[in-house]
Amino acid sequence: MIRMSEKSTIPFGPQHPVLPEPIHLKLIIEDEKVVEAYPAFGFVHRGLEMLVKKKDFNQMVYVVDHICGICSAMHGQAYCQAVEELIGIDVPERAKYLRVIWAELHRIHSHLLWFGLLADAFGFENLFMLSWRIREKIMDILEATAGNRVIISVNVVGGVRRDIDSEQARWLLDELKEVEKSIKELDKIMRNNYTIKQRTVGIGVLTKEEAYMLGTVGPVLRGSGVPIDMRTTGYAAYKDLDFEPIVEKDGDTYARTIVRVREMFQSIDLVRQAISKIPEGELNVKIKPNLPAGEAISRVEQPRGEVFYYIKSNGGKYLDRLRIRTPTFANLASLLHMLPGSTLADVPVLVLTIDPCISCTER
Amino acid sequence: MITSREVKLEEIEKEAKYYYNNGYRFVTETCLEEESKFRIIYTFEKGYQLYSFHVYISPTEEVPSISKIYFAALPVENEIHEMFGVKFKNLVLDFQGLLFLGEYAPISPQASIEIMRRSKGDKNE
Repeated sequence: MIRMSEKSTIPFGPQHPVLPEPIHLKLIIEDEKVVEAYPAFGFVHRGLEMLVKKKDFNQMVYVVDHICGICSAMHGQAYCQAVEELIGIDVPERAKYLRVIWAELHRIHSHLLWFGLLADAFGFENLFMLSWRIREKIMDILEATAGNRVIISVNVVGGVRRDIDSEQARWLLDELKEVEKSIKELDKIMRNNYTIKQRTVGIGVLTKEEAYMLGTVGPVLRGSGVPIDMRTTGYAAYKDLDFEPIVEKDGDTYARTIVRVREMFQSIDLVRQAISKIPEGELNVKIKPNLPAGEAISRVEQPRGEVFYYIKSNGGKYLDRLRIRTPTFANLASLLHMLPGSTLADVPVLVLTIDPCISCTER
Repeated sequence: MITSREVKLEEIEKEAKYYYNNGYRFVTETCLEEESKFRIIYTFEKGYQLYSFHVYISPTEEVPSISKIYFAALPVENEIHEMFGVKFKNLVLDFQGLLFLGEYAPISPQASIEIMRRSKGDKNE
């Protein structure tokens, strides 16, 4: 007897073993196949954009640093760059290089965190532990150079508020050698392991055209063969550094994984380049207490992709409007596009393939 | 410096189709409250360059959704509806104001003008 397939509804999240942050998906399935997926958010919504009316533009640096614990330095950087453009000031060269160093360290620890979570999602506990163990080294570097492990709060409007001296830079480079060695081990496992390939190759395929027109950003976009990386626009000190966007062509979860692993090596290289080229000089410039009226946009390549900051000022100490379009918010459309047609067992991998940051999304 | 040109409400879909057909990526929509009106800025990208147009609407006007043209506009327009109370016509998926905010959260918290009226007995009251 042939059994007719029936539709069932399965809730995925907000509390789920593979989810570090709460997101809910209402999955309509037919046998084991997902036919429709409806997301629900709002479990950690904070309304931080609204704080511009209550916190002045300098205090807001501290607020945007706290949007997300994984790419906090880049939130601060994107916000400061927008305000600096509005004011019309150029930050000291040394500050630009320091921003690159801390941003790239954040990219490495974010990708390692994600890699561990992905390994955990398909039951590869050892790889999860290995990945997070390497990440600890980066956290140690952040603590030594910025005073904090997670939210390092180094950016201020006009530059940065901490420096890395030459002795610390030498120690940092030694530590990075160890990190690079460990990531090579991780890379070897990722490229040769049967389990990883079984769970990622051909899963969540986005073609180049789909990824481009869905407004996808970051490693998800580059994993589909689109070489878009905001760092190539040359903000901060990236204009003086030699690098190309990392691109893979297959557009599946495996391709995105390779992009992120290759980006960790690229970030290590960028930190080395930045340390070798960093000029002496001031860390920040003094700014006036009031903003001019006007609008500005800043775009920064975070670990998950481009973050878009829009600010508007009517003059005075407070901004009139702050709008933040985070990379995960941009990648939601691609997630909703990938889920229908997948099997229920692949849903955790698909959710993680975009490296979702719910704190960023809900701001 | 941001350059954005103003379009009329009825031209939004035509403009979005133009951008789509010419290979522009959707970046975002930004809603601003300016005096007693809302300004919605539509931002697209091609070759790292941003292109924008904006529309001014009165609080009671309905805005045609571009989520059928750009699927990525779906969460953005739902968020604007929720935070500012702006109504969008023909959204591909309408979260009915519950994408981010809970049932008992304040309505349109980012707008000083409350344009979504609640009747007595509603969950949101």
